[in-house]
Parts: sequence; structure tokens; C-alpha cells
Amino acid sequence: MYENQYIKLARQFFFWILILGILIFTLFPFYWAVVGSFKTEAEIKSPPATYIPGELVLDNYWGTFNDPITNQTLDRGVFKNETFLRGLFNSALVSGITTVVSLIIGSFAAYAIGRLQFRGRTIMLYLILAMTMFPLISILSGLFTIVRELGIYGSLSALIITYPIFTLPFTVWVLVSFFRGLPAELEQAALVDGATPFQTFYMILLPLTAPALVTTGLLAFIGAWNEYLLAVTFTITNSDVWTVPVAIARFTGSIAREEPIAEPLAATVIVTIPLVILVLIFQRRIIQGLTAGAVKG
Amino acid sequence: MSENKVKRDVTEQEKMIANGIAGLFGILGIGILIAFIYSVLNNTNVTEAETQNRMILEFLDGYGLLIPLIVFGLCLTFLNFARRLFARDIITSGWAQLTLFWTMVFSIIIIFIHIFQVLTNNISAQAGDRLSLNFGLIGGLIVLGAVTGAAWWWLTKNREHVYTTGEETIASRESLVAWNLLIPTVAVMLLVAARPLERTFIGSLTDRTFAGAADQEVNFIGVANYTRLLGFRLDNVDCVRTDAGECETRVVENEIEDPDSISVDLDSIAALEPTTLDVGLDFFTSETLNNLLAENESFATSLATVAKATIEEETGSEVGDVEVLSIVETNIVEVSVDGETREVLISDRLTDFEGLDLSDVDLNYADNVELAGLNTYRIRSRTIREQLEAITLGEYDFENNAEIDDVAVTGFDSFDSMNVTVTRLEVEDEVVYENLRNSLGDTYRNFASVSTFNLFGNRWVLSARDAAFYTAVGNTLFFTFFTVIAELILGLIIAMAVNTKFPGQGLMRAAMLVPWAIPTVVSAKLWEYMLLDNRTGVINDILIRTGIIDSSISWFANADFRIWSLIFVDVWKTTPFMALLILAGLQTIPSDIYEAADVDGAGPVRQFFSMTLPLLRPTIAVALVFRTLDAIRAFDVFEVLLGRQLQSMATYNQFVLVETQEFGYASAIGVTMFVIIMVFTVIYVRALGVDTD
Repeated sequence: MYENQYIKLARQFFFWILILGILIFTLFPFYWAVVGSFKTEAEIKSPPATYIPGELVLDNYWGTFNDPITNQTLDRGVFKNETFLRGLFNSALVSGITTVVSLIIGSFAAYAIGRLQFRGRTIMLYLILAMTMFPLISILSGLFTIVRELGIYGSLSALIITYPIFTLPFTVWVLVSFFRGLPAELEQAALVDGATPFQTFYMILLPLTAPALVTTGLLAFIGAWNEYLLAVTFTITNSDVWTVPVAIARFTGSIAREEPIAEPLAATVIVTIPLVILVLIFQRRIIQGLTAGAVKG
Repeated sequence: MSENKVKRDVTEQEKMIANGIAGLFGILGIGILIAFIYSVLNNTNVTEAETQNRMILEFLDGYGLLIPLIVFGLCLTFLNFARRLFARDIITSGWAQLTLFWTMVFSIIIIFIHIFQVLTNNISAQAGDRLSLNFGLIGGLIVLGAVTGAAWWWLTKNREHVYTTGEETIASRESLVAWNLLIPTVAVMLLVAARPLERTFIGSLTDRTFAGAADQEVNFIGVANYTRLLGFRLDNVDCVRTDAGECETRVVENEIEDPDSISVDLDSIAALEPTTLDVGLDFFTSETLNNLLAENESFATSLATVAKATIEEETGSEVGDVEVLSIVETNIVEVSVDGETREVLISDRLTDFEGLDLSDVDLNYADNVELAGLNTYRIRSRTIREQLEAITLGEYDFENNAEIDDVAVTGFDSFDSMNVTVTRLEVEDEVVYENLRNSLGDTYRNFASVSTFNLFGNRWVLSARDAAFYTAVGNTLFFTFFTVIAELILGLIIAMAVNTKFPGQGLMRAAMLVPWAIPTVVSAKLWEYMLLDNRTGVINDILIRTGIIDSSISWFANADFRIWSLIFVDVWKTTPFMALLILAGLQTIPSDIYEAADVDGAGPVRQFFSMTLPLLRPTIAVALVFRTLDAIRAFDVFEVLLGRQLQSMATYNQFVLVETQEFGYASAIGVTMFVIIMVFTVIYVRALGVDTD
């Protein structure tokens, strides 16, 4: 029986090696970002790479540096970088409004499609499904003209108005499956009590789907927070309204004449941490929501 | 319900209001049509079009088909509502209520968006381009909102009492509620999906650009954008076959240019005889000129005349006699005029010197002439070039040397030799070809080669009008194929591993979600730093430390690696998500079938291929469809990591739209991508048998 035990041990060993490998594969880049954000710019740029910072500095987040040419002490660090800070604000604003709007009108539509009988229901369902698969890039030029005609090119409104194109169908699609999962007796009981369909919706069904709303809202928020194509197309001319992805992609740092690495890494850490926390808290819900809709955010 | 209420008569006032609401719909119906027609009549592009065809096209460009359809549809519907409301139709009153409510809501929303736009723009914009509130718009919307709001409010209170014709059923109520709830979604879809799609389609038939003036004329160019985008040709290229019949090389004549130098006797060249020299003073050295000044009287007098003319031209007034004192520097001459000494720049040629006689001058080139002057003269004078060429041709025996194709004189490097370039033709085998323009000439104009390949033993070159687009399509398909395959395999492995129960499973799943949650842009940036091309890039460092590579690799600059680097970054980002989808599928498989298989003695490999995979088929199919469609429209990774070095269809489209501002052409790309993706989806869904519900 010793043999069997050895095989079992070996299997255990390889299993944990595999798990460790997966963890390193998924998490090493974050380790790298965090470590890099505490290194000095000089250390990060001198080969070979160091795996533990030689000197821990906070300058990339909040610090100063001496400009060798003008010999002035200037601010540096992502928390003193206006474009980045405003990017955080803009992203939060745009994603927040988009999420709330999508949730409100998406839950209406999802209830109608999921629970009510009416003519045109199947067509609406397919139209919305088609929109989730829709290549956004195909209508980019059409959207571009409409945004220009509305006079909102280079402003946050351009993003708030166009973002529902991907958050809304997704929200509807996920919520429809949640609404369908609720028992039919609920509505029948409400109907007997004399409630109108709309009352049934917001007094009985909506509270029941609150967990689903949180999940869907979170996914829509992450989707909007991460969006880059529309943001870069509609706001590139005006750095005041850049969202975080655009600000990071165009990061210039505080020291002119030199492309920084440590500061963007600090920015990366700042952007990633809230998402990691959200994911840790809502992990189970997110997986449920994603697999219900089978949609990538 | 309503039957239980006490019936009372409808008062005169209520009748009046009910008729008023019916009238309101009549006004709304006609008003919306009039507003539309007014807008069209005020659109000078349409009204001032030269021909009828042009007018129709301008109308389509400005309004599309959707807007007129919606306007006419609403107009007819509202008029119909008005008619039925006069008849007190109960079902119609419900739809009227719906319409009034949403009209009010949209009015309020538009007002808010307008104010928000003004506020945020004024926070961020420069003082110059601040927006101001449009009070006409706001006022109009407030009136519309107030009237429709009041009518809606009245209808909510009195609908069932006043409207008595017909009967509401549960179905009709449900339908009403459903559409009430769907209207915002429909409105958003119309604004951000349907109308932009339509604009893209119509725009793809025009040559509209955003650059330049706003009122730039737009022309309808039919499918010209598409022919420019999709135009391609296949050319069969001649080649020398290998023994196996493979066509890999062709014979080419390479032109090889060799420098050479041949000796010349300048005195033997007729064009360089002193009497026929067509040169300026700077041809000679200053010393020679000073000698000439002292020895040759005709030179002194003619130079004085020329100098006098030059000074008079410069000063604009007559001067007295000029005496040449000396030559300061080739063509700068010191003269004395009216008792003053000054310098004059003489740019006239010797042939313009009246009375100059150089026949008795012995011109020894090596001593008297500037080399630069000689070379300038060679370039300027056709006569001397022809004579030099004749000498060169005499030096090379073209008749008996077929290799030499041409000899060209490049200049003098001393006074007794000159440089020439000898062009030789060398025949050799060359790996097949890039440029067809040389062999095909004019018919190949506007085309550029995309790739070459062997087919049926022939060598073909694929060329396209827009080679960048074809390359982008190729890149995208390559990227899509390999990312999806890699994600599927890795995702399966990870999902199988995580599916076993072990402590820390929940944490592990959370860790897997992290790459999915962070913005693609951020992960691309992060990988950009990790893949730096020296040992500050951690990947190069690890590979060198472990001895896998000897020196750092330029992951993005090196054409062999760049697309693979991109694929790797995307696989890192999306594999965990793929694994989670597959994991969800795995968990629906009941565990007792595995126990049964164990009893039957099926090994783990057999179990995987004959049970797990077939049962996972629907999950994998859905995951594949979503991932493939995502990869085909990939934008973020390409844009951040490779920019213009290597483009996907999406980055190319965005580049054309934003950088070159060619709206029409960008639209054609968008429509083409739309068609490609739709065809792909249909084939894919059919082939994999995905249940669309």
C-alpha cells in the first residue's frame, strides 16, 4: 500500500504546484506593479530588474523632485497629478451615472420582457441580444457625427450618453434571467390583491431582485470604468475630461523630457486596488452574474 | 375594480378637457410634422441642391430614413389617437397617457442634459469656448413638458371615468405597462445604436471628411469607398522552379553601382578653352584673378565697367569712374569710386564682360581654378557634360562588356581625374519579391502588395488598394485564432484544477477575477513595462536568469515577437474569465457519473474526453462565441501596446476616423467590419450549435 500513498502524495504535490502556477500567472503582474510603485525611477530604469525594492520611496504617490534645469522644487507623484486625479473623478462620475441610468431603465425593460406578455416581445428580446454582440467599432463613425452634431464632442456628456450602448443591453439581458427565475405565484397574488402590474413590479419584484441589481450594477460599473475606445475617441482633444484609462494610456508624469515608469505603476496600483477589493467582496455574485449573462464586461 | 366605483355623470368641464387633450394630440401630430418639414426647408444643403438626385442624397445624409419614418409614424399615430380620443376610447386613452408621460420625461431629461453640459463644460473648458444656456430651447421644452405633464396628470385621475368606449382587458393593460417600461430602452437604442448605424451606412457612401471647414461640400461617391477599401488583385509571378516544382525564387537583374575614377586632360576639353568659358569670377582662384588684373588690360577695363554697372544698380544712382584695385576673394572685388574704396560682389559671367579678350591667356587649370567652381560649371553647362560623357564612353568598352549598363559622371576630385559611377547588371536568383510596380507598370498604380504565397505550384502576390486594411484584417484574424485557442486550452486546465475542492478555493476564484476586472488599458501598460526590451523588463530578466535566452528580446520592436507578445498579454487578461465560465459549466455536471465511470474502470484521460468534454460542449460553445467576437473587435491592447506599428481592424478604423478625419472612408471600414462580424457570428453559431435563447 506504500506505493498508493506515494502516488497520492505525488498527485497532491503536482496539484499544489499547478495551483501555485495559476496564482503566480494571475497575480505576479500586480506584485510587480506594487513593488515598482515604491521604487525610485532610477532603480526601475537600471538593469537588471530588482524583485525587492532597494529603497522604499513614496515619491511616486506623493513627493517632490528637483528640476535640474530650472533648479526648482516641483511636485511629483500621482496624487499630485491633476490629469490623473481628475481622471478618477471623471471616471467615477461617468461610470456612476451610466450605471444608475442603465439599472433604472434596464430593470424596467427586463421586467417587461421577462414577466409581461405583449406583442413584439420576442423581437425586443432579439434586438437586445443583437446589441450585446454588436461591434461598437462599426458604428463609431456614426456615433462620432451624432456626438459632434449634439455639440458634446470632447465633454463628459458624450460619454454619459454613449456608454449605455454597451451597459444597457447587458443589464437588460442579465436582469431578464433573474426576473424569469422568480416564481409566478408572486404576481398572481398581487393581482388578486388589486395591484397594477407596475405596482407589482416596484413593490414586490424589484425588492426581490435587489441582489441581482447590485451584481449587475457592479458589472456595468466595471464595464464603464474600463471603457477605452469611446473615451479616447470622444475626449482625446480635451484632457480635462479624460477618464482613467485614457489618462493612464497617455501618462506623461511630472518630470518632463523623460517617460516615467514608476509613476504610471503607482497610478495602476491606485486604479486596481478598488477593483480588487470589489472583486474580493462580491466574488460569488460576480461569477453568478457573469455566467447568467455569459457576457464579458 | 372600476365597476366597483360609483358612477357619476361626466361634467361639461371634463368633456372640455377631454376634447382639449384629443386636440393636443392633433396639434402634436401635425406639429411634429411641421417642425420636421421646417427643419428640412431650412437646410440649405437640401433646398439648394442642384439636381433632384442630389437633393434626395443630401436629405438622406442629413436625416437618414429612421427620422422621417419615426416622424411620419408618430404623426399618423397621434392623429389616430386624436380621432379615437374624441370617441372616448378607453384603450387609446391608456396609450395617450403613456405618450404624454414620456414626452414630459424626455423634455425634462433634455433640459437637464443641456444644463449639465453647460455646467461641466464651463468647469473644464478654456474661458473662450464656454457654452451658454440656450433659453429658447429650455423655454420651449418647459412649455412642452408642462402641457404634456398636466394632460398626463389629468388623464391619470380621470381616465377610467371619462373614457367609456371599449373595454380594457388584462392583456391590453399588460401590453400598455410593458411598452411604458420599454420606451426608455427603445429611445436609448434608437439614439446610440440604430441612428449611428444608419449614419455609418449612409456616410460610407460619401467622401465626407471632418478636416477643413464645416461647410465643406460632401459628395456622394457610391461604392467608391468600398472599392478603395476592398479593391485587391492577385498576380502570378514568374519564377524559377526548384527540383520539387516549388516556386520560391525568380531571376532578377540587380543593378550594382560601383564608383570609379578616370583620368582626364582638362586642356583637351573644348568647352574648357579659355575663350569659350561660360563661367563667373568664382571659377578662378583669387590669385589668378589678381594676376590677370595686372597683366591683361582688357580684363581690368571690362571688370571696371561691370563693377560700375553693379554699383549703380545697387545704389540706384550714377557714380563716377570706377577703378578696380584688387580681387579680395574670387568674386568680391575691391574698387575705388568717387574717391572712396568699397567692395562689390560681381555675379556676372565672363561672357557678359564687354571687350574681354582671354585668347593669349594660358589657363593652367591646376594652378588657376577652384575645384568647386569646376564642379559647379560641370553641373551648369550642358556642353561640358556632353564632352565629359563622350570621354567616359571612350574609356569603357560597352560593346564587349555586356555587364556594364551605364556610366555616369559624378564630378571632379582633382584637376586630372574625375569620379564616375559604373552601373553593372548582375543576374541572380532572388527570393520572391515585394514590389510589382516595376514589372506591371501603370496597371498596378494605387496598389501595394499585402503578402505572397504559393498555390498550386505558382507564386502569387496579393495586392490591395488599401494594403493597411488587409494587413489589419490579417493581424486581427491571426490574433483572434491564437488567443481564443490558447485561452480555451489554458482555461480548461485552470477550470479543472480549481473545480477540485481544496482549502482557499474561494480566494483562488477571487484571484482569478482580478485580471478580468482591471481595465485592459491598465493591464496593457503594466505588461508594456514588464516586457521592456532590456533587463529592466522583468520577463527578459527572468528568462536570462533561468538561462532560456542569452540576451534581451525586444518584444514589441521585433516583428517576429510583437504579435505573440500581444497575444500573450490578451491571454493573460482573459483566460481567467474563460476558466470561470468553464468552471460554472463543470459544476452543472453531476459527480455520480464520474463515480460510475470509475467503477467501470475508465481512466481519467478517457473520462475527460468521452464525458467531460461532450458535457461541457454548450458552455464551451457560448464562451467561444463571446471570446471570438471580443477578440475580432480588439482595440485596447493593440492601441496601447503597438499603436500604429501593428493595427487591428478596430484600431485602423479608429485611426482613419480620428487621425485622418475621413468620415466616409472610416464608415466604410465600420460597415465592412460589421458585415465580417455578422457573417462570422452566424457561421459560428450554426457550426457550434449554440442555443440562442
